[in-house]
This record gives sequence, structure tokens and C-alpha cells, in this order.
Amino acid sequence: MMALLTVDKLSKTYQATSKKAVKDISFAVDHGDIVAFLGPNGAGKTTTLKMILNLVSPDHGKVYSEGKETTNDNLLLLKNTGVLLEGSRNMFWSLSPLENFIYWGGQRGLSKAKAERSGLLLMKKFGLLDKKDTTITSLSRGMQQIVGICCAMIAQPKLLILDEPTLGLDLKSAQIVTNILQELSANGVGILITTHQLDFAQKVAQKILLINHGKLVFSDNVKESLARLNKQTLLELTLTRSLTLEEQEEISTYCNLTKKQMNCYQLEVKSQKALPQVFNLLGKLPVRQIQTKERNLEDVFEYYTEEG
Amino acid sequence: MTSFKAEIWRQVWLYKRYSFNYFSDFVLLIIMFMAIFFGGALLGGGVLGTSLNALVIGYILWTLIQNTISQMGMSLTSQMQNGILEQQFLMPISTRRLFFNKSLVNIIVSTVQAILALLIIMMLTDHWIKFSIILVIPFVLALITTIGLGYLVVSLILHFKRIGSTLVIFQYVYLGVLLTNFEHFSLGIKYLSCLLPIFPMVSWMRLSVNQHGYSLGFYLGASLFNAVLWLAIGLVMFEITNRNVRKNGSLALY
Repeated sequence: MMALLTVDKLSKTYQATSKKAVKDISFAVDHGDIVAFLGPNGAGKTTTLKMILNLVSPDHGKVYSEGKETTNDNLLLLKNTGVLLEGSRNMFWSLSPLENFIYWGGQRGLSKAKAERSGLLLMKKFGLLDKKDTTITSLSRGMQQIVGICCAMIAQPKLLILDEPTLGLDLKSAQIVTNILQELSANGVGILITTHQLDFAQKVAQKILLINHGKLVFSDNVKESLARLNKQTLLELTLTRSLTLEEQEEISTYCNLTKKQMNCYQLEVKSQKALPQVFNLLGKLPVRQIQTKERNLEDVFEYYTEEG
Repeated sequence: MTSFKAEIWRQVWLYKRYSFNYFSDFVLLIIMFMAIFFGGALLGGGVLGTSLNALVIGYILWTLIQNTISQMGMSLTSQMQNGILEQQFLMPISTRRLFFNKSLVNIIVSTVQAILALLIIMMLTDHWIKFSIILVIPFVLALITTIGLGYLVVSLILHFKRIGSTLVIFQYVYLGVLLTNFEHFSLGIKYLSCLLPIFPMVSWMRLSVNQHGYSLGFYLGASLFNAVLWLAIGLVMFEITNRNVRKNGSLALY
């Protein structure tokens, strides 16, 4: 089966700034995938999303929807895709959620009755059924965001593209969004999300794309890459004094040593076999605290996006 | 069709929710006409000729066209500002079709409003207009030109983002159209005026309601040409602007 979305070497330079915003980005989103698209502000995430959706024309590269090219004619892609860009801006604020569902459902080819039914089901799922007739302006920020997500899901798309879906949501609402995304993924819906909330990305996504300065710098399965990284034991060591040069040299035989703060060091043990020697060395030091540390997405993000 | 229906529903909900505001606009429309009517200053000369028939029809046509254009302009500017326009570009229908639906809904709403205003004005002035059924042709052709102008307005908004003042100029240009009797000018100017939006249609209606003799063939041909010309100009400009905003990524830049 063809991937729901295939992005092949997309590039864009904005004429006004002559800045190469995106350089040769390629990736795919398959049925049931949840892909998190991460990167610092201005890295090129939004430009990439907009090129996929043909809101911005790429200089080079192609976009495919289930194997068919949609680079310059995106109606086929949009037919199967629900999109929420930039928070909850995809709604008429003077209308109610139900009226918004009917409007956006209609734009996607749904009859009034079908859009209404689908919208009410979604509202029920998110626990907002009692707000169906309240105007969007009267809803809280979190509720507006949820209604925005519902609008993107109204026509049961095969692919969902969500820009910062949990922005402004409280923990409970964010958990509801996480559950819904996981449920959709289990039903074969492909999901591409951008987010700055790395813990959310780690929890919900199966695959991570990390972009920096317009280039894709990391693309991997979340669990596998973290498991791989965490194969090496990582220790965080706090001493009552700084390490001497001799001690640093001795430890460096078995570990990659990084000074984090005053008297605080990170030790990446080079091999599991070296652990007895490492603990032997540590026994001789004035240790205040020692703890093992698990690497998370934040470490990956920091590693690939820190300058220099 | 569901897209068009959705636009209709949106208008209905807005009319329901903000009924007082829409009602006030409607009353203002009637009051403005009555001021012109009782003021009498214009009756002696300009608007659509000398008769009250011409005044009523001219006023209704003007409000219809300027409502359509300015409503389109204002709602689009606000939709661009709050990001909804970008979202509408993400619907699985062509943008040309999307804006056609919007124009059509605006025209329908404005026409219903204009007909209601016409009935009330006729009641208030106790002057019941009888006009030839043939006037439906220039009226419909004027609406086609208006759709072309609608695309032109959309293109200007997509390119320049804010065109509030231009829209006000548009309104006065339309009023100027209705006040100028180009059919009595020299042949050259008469022909040239047929290139300007809705000019031949208005001349045709003016001659007809004032029961002056005119060449049906000439006005039919000129009005058809005018409608096709401005629809084509609107569509071409829209296609060019649409391509440019995508190329420059400027759709969301307001």
C-alpha cells in the first residue's frame, strides 16, 4: 500500500528574504503513523507544512498523496486530509461549534445532517456536548482548541495535519487529545503534528522528524532511538568538590565525561563491561549524590539543535 | 453544492444572531432613499434619468452592487486577518469555486434585500413601478460583471491585504456610473463607455425605464461583451494573484 503522504526533497527559498527556508526535506506518513515534526522557531516546520498543503509553492521537490503527485494540484490530498493550522484559527468565532461543523463539513462535501451528526459525536467524545450551541468566542482557550481539532476531523480524514494541537490545553484536555490521536492512529489514520511540547511528542508519536535551519537533522522511530540511546548507562554525579585532572583522566578511560555544573558531572559509560571499574572509581570520590539518568526526546532535541 | 449550501447557512446564522444590526442597515437603506426622494434635488436631472421609476431602480441597483462588492471585501479582509481564509484554501474545492460561491451568496442576499427595499419604497412613495420584463437581461448581465468585479476585489485583497479605501472609491464610481448619461454622449465616448464595468447595462435600463428609443441589438451585444470582459478580467487577475501568493507564501501575512 502506498504511503498516505510522501514528501520528496522539498526546498523553498523566499524571494523577499533570499533565505533558504527549507532544504531537501523528505519523509513519509503512512496509515496509522503518528509523526511529530519538531524544531526550534523559524526552523522551517510551518513552511514545510504549507508546501505539503500547497499554500506555499516549493522551488523543488514533490508531494504525493497515496502515490499520486499533488505538488501543484492538491485537491486530492485535501480531500483525504483534515488540517488545523496555527491554533484554533480555523473557525468562525461568531458561530457556535455546531454551526462551524456544518459549515466546514459542507466545504468538505458533507450534508448538513451528516456534518451535524459527525460534529456531535466528536463533541461527545471530548466531553463538550453541552457547549455545542455556545459561540466560539465564549469558550475557553482549551475548548476552542478542541473544537478546532473537531473541525479538522469532521469528515473523518485519512490524514490529519495538526499544528500545535495541545497548545493552551490543560493537562486533562491534552490527555484527551492524546487518547483521541492514539485511537485514530489505531484505526489507520495517519497523523502529522508539529509541537514544541516534547513530552507530548514523546508520549504520542511513533516517529520523530527534527528540523533545524531548514534541514532534516533527525528522523527516527521514537522508542527505538531512545532505547538505542539508553543502552549506554548515563550517570549524573554530584560531588562535594570538583574532580582533579587526574581523576578526570582516569574516569575518561571508561566514560565520556561532561561537566554539567559546579561539582556536577555526567558520565556516559562506554561499555556495560566497564561498569565495575566505574563504580570502583566512584567509590574513591567524595560523592554527594549519584543517579542514573534516562535520555528523553529533550536530550535528542538539544543535541541536534544546539548551535555549533 | 454542499459548499454553496454551507455559505448560505452561514449567512442565515449571522442574520439570525445579529438581526438587530442587519435590520438597522436595512432601515438606513430605506431612510437614505427617502432622503433623496423628498430632497428632490436629484429628481431634476441625474439618477437613471428624470423619472421616479429611474430613481428607484437606479438606487436599488446601486445598493445591490455596492453591497455585494463591499460585503465581499469586508468579510474577506476580516477572514484573512483572523486566519480563516487560509483554512478555506485547505478545503477540497478549487479556490475559484470557493469565491464564486461566496459571490453568489452575497448577490442572493443583496438581491433579497434590494427587492424587499424596493417593495417598501414603492409602498412608502405610493408609486408602483411597471417595467419591461426585458430589463431582467441587463440586470442579470450586471450581476455577472459584479461577479468578475468580486474576483478582482479578492485579487486586490490577496495582493494588498487592506483595500478599505479602494472599496469606498468603488462605491462612488458606481454612483457615478448611474449618474452619467453616456448614451447621449458622442459615438466614440458611448462605445468607449461600454468597456467600463456595467456601463452599457445601466444605459440600457435607463433608456428602457424612461421609454426612450434604443437599439436592442447594440445594448444586448455591448452588455454581453461587458459581462464576459469583466468576468474574464476578474478570473485572470485572480489566477495570477492566487499563483503569486502561493509562490511568495504571503497568504497568511496580514
